[in-house]
Amino acid sequence: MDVFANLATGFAAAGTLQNLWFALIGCTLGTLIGVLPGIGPIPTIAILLPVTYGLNPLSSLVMLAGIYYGAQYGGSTTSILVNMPGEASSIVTCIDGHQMAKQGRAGAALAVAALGSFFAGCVGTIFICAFAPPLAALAQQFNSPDYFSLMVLGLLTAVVLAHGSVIKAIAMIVIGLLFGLVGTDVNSGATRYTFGVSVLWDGLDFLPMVIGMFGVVEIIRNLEQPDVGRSAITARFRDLWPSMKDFHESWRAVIRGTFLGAILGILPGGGVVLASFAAYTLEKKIAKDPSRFGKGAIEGVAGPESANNSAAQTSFIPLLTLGLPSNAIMALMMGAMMIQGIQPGSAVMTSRPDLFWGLVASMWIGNLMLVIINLPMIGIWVKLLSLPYRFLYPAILLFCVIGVYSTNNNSVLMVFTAGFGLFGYILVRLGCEPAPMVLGFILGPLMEENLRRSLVLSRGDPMIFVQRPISAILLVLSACVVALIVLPALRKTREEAFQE
Amino acid sequence: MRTGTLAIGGATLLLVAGFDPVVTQAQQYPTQDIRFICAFPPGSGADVLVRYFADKVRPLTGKNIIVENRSGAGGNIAIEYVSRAKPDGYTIFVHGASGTAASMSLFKNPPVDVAKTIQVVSTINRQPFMVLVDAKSPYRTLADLTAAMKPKGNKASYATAAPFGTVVGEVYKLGSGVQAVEVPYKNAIDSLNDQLSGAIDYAVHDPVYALAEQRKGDLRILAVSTAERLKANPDFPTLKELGVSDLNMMGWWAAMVPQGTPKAATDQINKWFDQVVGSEETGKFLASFGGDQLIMPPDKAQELFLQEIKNWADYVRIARIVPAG
Repeated sequence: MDVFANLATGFAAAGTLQNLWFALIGCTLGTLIGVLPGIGPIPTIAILLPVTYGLNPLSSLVMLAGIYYGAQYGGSTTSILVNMPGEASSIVTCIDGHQMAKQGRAGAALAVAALGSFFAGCVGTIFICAFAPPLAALAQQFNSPDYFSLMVLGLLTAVVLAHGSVIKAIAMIVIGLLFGLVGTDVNSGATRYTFGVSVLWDGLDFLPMVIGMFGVVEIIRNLEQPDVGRSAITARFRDLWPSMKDFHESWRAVIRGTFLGAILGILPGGGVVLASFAAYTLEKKIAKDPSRFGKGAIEGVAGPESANNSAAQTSFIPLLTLGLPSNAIMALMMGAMMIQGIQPGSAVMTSRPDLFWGLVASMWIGNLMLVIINLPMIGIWVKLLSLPYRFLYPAILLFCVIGVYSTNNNSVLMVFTAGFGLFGYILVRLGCEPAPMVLGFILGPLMEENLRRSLVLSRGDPMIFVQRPISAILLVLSACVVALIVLPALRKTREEAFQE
Repeated sequence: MRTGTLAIGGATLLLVAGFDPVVTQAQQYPTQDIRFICAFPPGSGADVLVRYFADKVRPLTGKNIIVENRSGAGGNIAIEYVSRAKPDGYTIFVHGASGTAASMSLFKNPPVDVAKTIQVVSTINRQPFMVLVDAKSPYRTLADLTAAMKPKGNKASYATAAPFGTVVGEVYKLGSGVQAVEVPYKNAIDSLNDQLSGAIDYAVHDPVYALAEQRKGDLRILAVSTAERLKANPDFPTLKELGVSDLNMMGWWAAMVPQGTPKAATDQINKWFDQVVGSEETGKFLASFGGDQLIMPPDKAQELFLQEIKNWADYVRIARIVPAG
């Protein structure tokens, strides 16, 4: 089997001492920021991007990916023990997880969350092995018009699956698209919106934007809230093993959550948060006695925690095969690859199989590490919750500033970082999520480039977008997505779904 | 105590300086760490080249060499930075001299006049751009391609991803009578799918991409833009010998310093680079970038640089490139 040969390549690449070390760093960091409320994987990855310059591409991806799925493990700990989500994707875990902890079943809840996550992580990895190669083969047939249609579909799906108001999600994507226009136009060589500032000729820099919008904003946001003491329900290691009854009640939920998460992770605009919410809703809907939910139902922990972890793995599929980042984290991973001179897309699998399969293998290794990091060492993580933020935040801010400056030794970028920090904070106060904006910023220039190039190739005839079958299918799908947004009946279902 | 030491130190300096300035400088350079300026972001292909030279030159200097990345605005940020740096031999710009010359014509308002601010000390390599077709296509030679493209008129399309490609593409069309339409890409690799599906008839790209795709068996190289064949890849005919153009269009890298740098320092830098560039290891390294080693005396190199500034004014006019900025 090809897959096994490929996986062997991957394990050989990921199994080097250096890569194991970076997987461990990533997983530990991910658990840490997952446990700590207030700082999530997006700002962490954004802040660490400059560090990856000095690493080889595989090590840097292994580490950044570890932070992402590691945070899914750590987030559940805080949710269960403190009733405070360490991570957005663990919000629903609070509902039943903390109730379980209050009833003295904290150990069981933590163990189910970790083992469910491990199972989901392994299945997610298998999903990547199964679906990535055929998708990449398809992507090699993609021409400029197909890429344009793919970007359209990606942005529209991001609107549908975004949280909160549709109008705000569209507005954020458009702002992102507009920011993406800054710089030298590929077709004519004209510079746009540069105001005579030569730093802007290559477009707005990605790092100051993401570090400002996510890193700096996260700190300001947290400073708004007083640093209240967090009291945790203690859990001892020997209490961790769930009972047979717990196993019996949760294994189906784990499997359902895993598959639901795997599918929602692949969708553009989907990801871990959507997956965990959807899994909770599903568990509640199909339960024989829905009234148990909210009072410590173990399925309410097992389903969402498995779902967010498998979604974290499968959301790599569109990025690594089509070059399409499905959410803000993947947009950051795309940035990390481009920093290393690797264009994400189907070419990664053929030209850098060690990189692709190495990353997949590292996810499996990382999941194993995470079970060990999270279960026996749970006491350490709980202690970290008492870490005063007055030490943590200045350190993070300093790290942000050094990171941005060191990439180009240019102080103008610091001004951009501060500006984006302020802008991001205003957006947050207005209730707008910055994540769709980053998607728009990344996809906008690609979309424009492919649109105009297609029209040059067709000598101005827009029919080129429907004459190519791949492009036509993608546009039909896009039309369906628009219908989802516009049709009132469907819009209602979407709102209801998010209500739950 | 302190004042005393300073006074003595100052007196020694004065004495020595008064004695023979040139010799002292030659003995003294380098007395501190040296900076190599790279006009591309860390981790990029060009950055690899700059860091290779930093690693190889470092042991010869006995000092540390720091690579400073000042990327952006098509190299203009680095060019301006080097032009305004202190001309003391401690700021060395390792970059495309051709690109530095081209910046005078590619931008509407170049921040500095490189003919007056930059001096070429040591040449590094020369590399051509290459004309490429799909390996499955029936075009075995440039003549085949020309014969097939001419009847297609402006229905034919070709890909470019850099101003250099635009220029070579235009020169080929002028010399052959082909009337294909240019389709610009951001990166050469982006054009591969379009070319393999037949939407693009041919492409004019950098040698790193061209050689990689040739090796993979996807594309075929039909011609190179330099007037002479490459030593590293002597099989590829030149546009000149194929009778398309008599221009010698080449990208060449060099070590450059701000003008006014003492001759003692430039001589030393030239010695270091000639030694590194001339090694067999560097020859292999540069061949992986699709080019040959290039060694010439500093005055000849500066002459070539000034000529290149004029060449690019012509190229930009021929290719009707609108200056940016």
